[in-house]
Amino acid sequence: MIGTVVKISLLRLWNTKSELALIFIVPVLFFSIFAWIFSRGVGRKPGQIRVSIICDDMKQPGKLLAQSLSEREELRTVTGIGSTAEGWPIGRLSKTVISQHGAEVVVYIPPTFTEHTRNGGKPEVQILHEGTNPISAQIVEAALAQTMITQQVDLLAAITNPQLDQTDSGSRQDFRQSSVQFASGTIAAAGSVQPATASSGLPNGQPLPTFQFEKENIFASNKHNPKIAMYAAGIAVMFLLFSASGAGASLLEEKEAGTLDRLLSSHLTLTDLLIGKWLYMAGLGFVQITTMFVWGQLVFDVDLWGHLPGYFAMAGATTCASASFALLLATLCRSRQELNGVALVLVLGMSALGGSMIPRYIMSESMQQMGRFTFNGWAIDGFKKIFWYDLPLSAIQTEICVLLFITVLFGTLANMLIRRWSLN
Amino acid sequence: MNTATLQYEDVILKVSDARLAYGRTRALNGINLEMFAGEILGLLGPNGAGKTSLIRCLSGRQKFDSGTTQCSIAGDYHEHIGIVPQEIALYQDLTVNQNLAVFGRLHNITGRQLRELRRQTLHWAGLEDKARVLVRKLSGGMQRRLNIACSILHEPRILFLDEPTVGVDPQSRERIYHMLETLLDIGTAILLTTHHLEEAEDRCDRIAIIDQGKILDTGTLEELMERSIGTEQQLRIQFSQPVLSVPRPLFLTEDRHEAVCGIENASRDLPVVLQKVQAARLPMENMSLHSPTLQHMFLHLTGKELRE
Repeated sequence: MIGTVVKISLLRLWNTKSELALIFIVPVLFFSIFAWIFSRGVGRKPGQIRVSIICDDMKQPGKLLAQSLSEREELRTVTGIGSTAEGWPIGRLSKTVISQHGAEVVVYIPPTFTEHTRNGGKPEVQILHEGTNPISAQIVEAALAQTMITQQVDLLAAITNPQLDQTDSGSRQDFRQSSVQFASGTIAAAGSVQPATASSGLPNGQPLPTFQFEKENIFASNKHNPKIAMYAAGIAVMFLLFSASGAGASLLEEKEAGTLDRLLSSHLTLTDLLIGKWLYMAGLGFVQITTMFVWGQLVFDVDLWGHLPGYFAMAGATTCASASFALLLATLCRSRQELNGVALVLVLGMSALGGSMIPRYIMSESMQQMGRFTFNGWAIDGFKKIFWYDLPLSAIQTEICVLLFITVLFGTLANMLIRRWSLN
Repeated sequence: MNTATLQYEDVILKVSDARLAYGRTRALNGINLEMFAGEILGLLGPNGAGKTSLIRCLSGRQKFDSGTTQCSIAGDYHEHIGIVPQEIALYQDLTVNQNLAVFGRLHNITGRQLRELRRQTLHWAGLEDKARVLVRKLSGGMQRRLNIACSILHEPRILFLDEPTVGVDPQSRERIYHMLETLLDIGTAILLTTHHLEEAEDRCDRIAIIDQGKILDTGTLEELMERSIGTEQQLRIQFSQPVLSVPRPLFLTEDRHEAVCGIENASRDLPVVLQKVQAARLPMENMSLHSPTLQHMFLHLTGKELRE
């Protein structure tokens, strides 16, 4: 008897091929996605921190530090080595390269770097970061410290020989011998690199410089609880997709229950039906996501009121795209059961890759690029620009255009696919 | 209902040479059909005969590949038709009132007119006291009645009913047919598909037999009988013991316990046959007279049982 019960269950599973596939595909798929993420990437290429190096020190030590830093494996310079200009102070420049050129961290070598070094002052290097990725600034800081240690001979040569300021690289080798003591420098606490001995290799006997790193989150300084806005965006998009898929199931329910026949015997056309469902899903999604952000504002100090225009633009475009996505899924599937399975795989997959579940900055470069094929990725990028970078509406044009393109494309495909329903 | 009464002989819908194919499968293969005002036309056919395809096309859900449909009522065709699907095609999580309202609005009925028609329809379906009840909380019979009510709220002149009494107890079935009769009184033409032969015999004014996408014959039950197996009744006489021979027009069956013959006019022919049996001193035990049934006629025309 018990065997018969087991057999019935097995037969039912075997006859429902989509369910059978899901049982095995979903765990394997998600294991693979998370394995790729935490092993930092498809293709085994290690993830790199995207940096922009701004060097205002025109003397050799500053240039050498910038050059050495740009050659490090764990960093990828996205804008080359630049400098500030009139009207572009470091604060503004940093915000621009981070928000518009994809840099995560800006390393700023000020014009006084060499001068302070030679005068026995504390040469200061600024690490300006965007703050969403809490480990990027620390990696850059460690890279800076390591650079100073590994490049100590050349640096010391440049510091002690002002004549080299006028040349390109100079006769660094000549100074190697006298500056080996610099190798004893260690990374001290509070982000500074300090020599371990008082005896320096500098010709005039002055003490070795202590390099000072100043870290600054240039976007979050005036925000109450900035990270919550990013979590809210990620979670909101994922649940928007889930609820839209659920609402899309009502389309299949109409078909299965026979109300579709009744609806279509009136003036209503299949296109009207799709538009009606789309409006409902987009409207519901907008209210849902807004409720979440209002709650975030009231309880977690998410600054919604300060970003209303950008919020409305992004929330509108995201909900429109999610509604079209749900319609496409519903018209692709033959039954609600099939829709539930497909939606589960797609929504969780897109959310994992797009950054709703796990921040994209911990993914490898290639996986971060894959995230751009999900509309979670585009939506989260847009919300990030609005809430994190405080950018104007014009800065999210690309995200809005992509999401609206998805809206139109998926909506059109759904309208084509639903014609099949006339045949069965 | 405010629909003007039409005459029985008014052709309200005419379908000519309608064809429909799904790939290589011909679902409808030259359908010709007429519906009259104030009649129930029963559409009988085995499964896969094309009944649902025909109703879908007539209700606007699908288009014929070729052929014509002429509606004699002026105006928008969709305004004149109502469809009652075989499923309970209602929103289970809406109340009775809300269901009526949404389907009314789909036919552009709003405001005071909607309220009035909703009131009339609830009364018609006997669901006045259930107006605020969720559909899923109604009994099966009530849901069936509401299923029909939602289709007639906009006062259609033509109603397509696909198996409206499936799974309904005899009492509810009677109630549903009573509701339909009131529609007939105001001239609504009803196309009804059913698997209940007795329903078709009792309730339909005319019957159309459909098989393999074709209408094999259409007419009243008597007309169909006459054109197929005839109207002759069958006399069966059973004997208490086997007999060797029987007088004409009787025929002895193989086991010699029974004799049968056709009777055209029972009042005229039956006494004659019985006298012959008595004269032959045959041990008659039982006797029965059978009229030809729709089942026989259906079997004769399609070669299939209705439920095949």
